[in-house]
Amino acid sequence: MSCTAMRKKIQAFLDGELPAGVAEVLKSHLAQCPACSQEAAALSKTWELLLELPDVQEVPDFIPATLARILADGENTRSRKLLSWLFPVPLSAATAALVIGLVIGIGLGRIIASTFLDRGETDTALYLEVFQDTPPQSIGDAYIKVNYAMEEKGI
Amino acid sequence: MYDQRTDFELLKAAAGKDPDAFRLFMARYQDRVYGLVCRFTGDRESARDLVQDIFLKVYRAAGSYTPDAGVFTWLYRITANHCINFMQSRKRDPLYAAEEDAALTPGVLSAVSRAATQETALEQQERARMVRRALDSLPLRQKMAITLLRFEGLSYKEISRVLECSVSAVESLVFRGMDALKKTLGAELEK
Repeated sequence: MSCTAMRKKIQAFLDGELPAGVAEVLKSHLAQCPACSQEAAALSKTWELLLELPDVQEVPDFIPATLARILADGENTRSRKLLSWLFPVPLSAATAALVIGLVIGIGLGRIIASTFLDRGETDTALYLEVFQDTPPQSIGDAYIKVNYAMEEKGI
Repeated sequence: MYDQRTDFELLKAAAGKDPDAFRLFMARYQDRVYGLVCRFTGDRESARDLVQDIFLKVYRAAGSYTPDAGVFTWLYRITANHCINFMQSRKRDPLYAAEEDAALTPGVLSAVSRAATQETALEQQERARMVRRALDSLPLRQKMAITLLRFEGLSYKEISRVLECSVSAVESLVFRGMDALKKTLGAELEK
């Protein structure tokens, strides 16, 4: 094994995590190779330096606060269940259904109107007649029609 | 009176909404969970909230625990995942950089230095700060692997169960993490 390969195993060797055979090979290599031996020493020193981090002392009691949160969580879950029972369809789904319904409704309405209602000329003529002196079905229109009829009959 | 129920029995009872069972379970493990969270985050204030969050998760997941995974492994897995997620979200928080130096609260350090002389205490604090900075500069999974190995005394195999990866992946995490620490701390110590 090359020094590069050996060095990748040094930490596992120091941690006692190598199989016995590999550990033996590495041990004899470290005895012969000053560079790898120096690497092992540097890793050991780093390992010791980690202990400079302070010990954790005075552990607080988390039980009361956590149990209170568990209780509150249970209340929230019950509230959510009640809401879902009262409103089985979520509000977002109901809103989405309403929007989709409106879009489909407007679309269908336009298709039906353009297919079954031929409003083109009729509507235009009707609207224009509104601006005559005697619009259709007005009193004036009725008076003129009655006059024509009387004239035809010679009254 | 000492409750002789096993961890599995306590968790099953907790899943059946028995708060006393969960109280006992917490009493057994809150020290270790708090220790791991403190060492990983280096922030005692955040650790207080995180430990509660973790036990709330444990309570919710109590019904899904099976004894084929050791309770430590299961508990450490929840703790490790929660801590890693917390640190990831904190790194994205722009306010975090400003608070980073304050993370080593004097309260954590004071216990160590209380017995030492003033000068030694300051040196110790500086070294602790340096080690903390070096540890915090590691990728989170490397940092967690080293924390579990060095401070919790877990083997590579146990760490692989906690981090849900292979033993060789743990070996690689530890090697890369320690190599980076060695370089960072070596450079710092030579200054």
